[in-house]
Amino acid sequence: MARLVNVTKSFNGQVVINNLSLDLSAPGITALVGASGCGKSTLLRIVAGLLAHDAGTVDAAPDRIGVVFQEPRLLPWLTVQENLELSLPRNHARSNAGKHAIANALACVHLADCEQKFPRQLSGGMAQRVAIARALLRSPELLLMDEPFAALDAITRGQLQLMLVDLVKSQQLKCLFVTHDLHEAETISDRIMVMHSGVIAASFQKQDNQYPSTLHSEVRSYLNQSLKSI
Amino acid sequence: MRHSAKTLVTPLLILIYWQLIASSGLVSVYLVPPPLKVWQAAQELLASGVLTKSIATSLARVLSGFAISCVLAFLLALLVNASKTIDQLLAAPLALLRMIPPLAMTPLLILWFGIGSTTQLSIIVLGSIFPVLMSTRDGLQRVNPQFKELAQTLRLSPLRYFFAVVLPSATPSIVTGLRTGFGYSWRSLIGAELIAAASGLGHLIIDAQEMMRTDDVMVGILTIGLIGWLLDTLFYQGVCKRLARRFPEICN
Repeated sequence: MARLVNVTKSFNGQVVINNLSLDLSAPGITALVGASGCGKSTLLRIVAGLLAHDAGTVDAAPDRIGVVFQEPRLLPWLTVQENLELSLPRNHARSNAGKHAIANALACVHLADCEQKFPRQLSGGMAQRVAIARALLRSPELLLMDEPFAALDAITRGQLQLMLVDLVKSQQLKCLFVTHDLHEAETISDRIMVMHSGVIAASFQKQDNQYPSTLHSEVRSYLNQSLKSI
Repeated sequence: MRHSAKTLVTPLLILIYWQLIASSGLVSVYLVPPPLKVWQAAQELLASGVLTKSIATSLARVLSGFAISCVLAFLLALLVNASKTIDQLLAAPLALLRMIPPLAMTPLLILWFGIGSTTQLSIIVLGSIFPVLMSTRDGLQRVNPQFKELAQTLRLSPLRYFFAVVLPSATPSIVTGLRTGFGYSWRSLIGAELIAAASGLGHLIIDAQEMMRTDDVMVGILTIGLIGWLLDTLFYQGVCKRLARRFPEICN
């Protein structure tokens, strides 16, 4: 579970997160959309414990959070197996149970027979699947994803989106998914939050597998406001 | 043509040019002894056991000196990497020492330790410690910030972070430092032996100079170069064999 209450964060006097409160305890995918520089990634980094906030309360268990970045961030000198072992406690990583957990995590992201490969031998999509498997191995209560599919081609992106939706459903995960792509947010998420000027300006809940028809026009109006303020 | 064959082309051309100059009569045979005479001198020195003994003595010195250099350099690099204060405190003395040629210290070292192994080892250490130290320190400090963040999200312990992220990040830089440092230690050794030793390849050269045997001098010089080249090649091949899988950039 993760909850933020009245969180504020500034950089060089400029407020990026402004007295923001957010509850991430609902299962499913929460998409966080907004214009570039609106504070989406800052918010995610605060929840992940990578960035200290100036004021407010962040109630999150860092040990139960899995993070997937825009880049896979696989250590190039380690094999896939060794990269995944880093997610497990040292004494557990090389045990049979550890190997079994790694094989399971790879199966979850539809990868097989790549344990002994090095990251340079993987495609962009495969590398990002390994990064997701690495996050899953931490048995996270909350999965944080910062534009994880932004650098991938359209076909691979589509495949990974579907895979993520299945994964979140089957493992009953809570996922905060940062993206600037409204179409992607609409496709994969159960709720969408629009970030604007450091606050959650609007939120939308999917009902009967559909978002309200006003979603696009409302989000566009916030994006336009952001463009004007640049 | 294979790579190894290509590397031999230039030395062969130099050898031919050297032989032509020496046999043309334009230069005195004393000043530039022809390759054949040098080869004969090498055979004599080998047969008498002088050359083999000098090589063994020099190799033992350089290997022990370089090993001391490596241990000290790694410990110092870890120390300055661990604490900004220690880094700042040591920055000036290390920068100053780095700029002093080790041979400039020889008179003092002879006064302090006499002509012996301590002086020779000190010169080798002073000559080779800095490339290893600088490269190791730079490598340890040049960890990709994205990997630092990743380690934070994975909650790696400091020890696990060091061995999984920091040390591998520094490995290519450390290998470069070791190669450069070994070359420097070999060069410092010969300098040390020219002044402060009664054995070894450097001493063989000085001894030959006093006997006006320029062919023996040439044997000493070429042996130093050949052994240095051979050791560097063996080191590079050994490193590539062990590390190429994980660090292909080292061997490219």
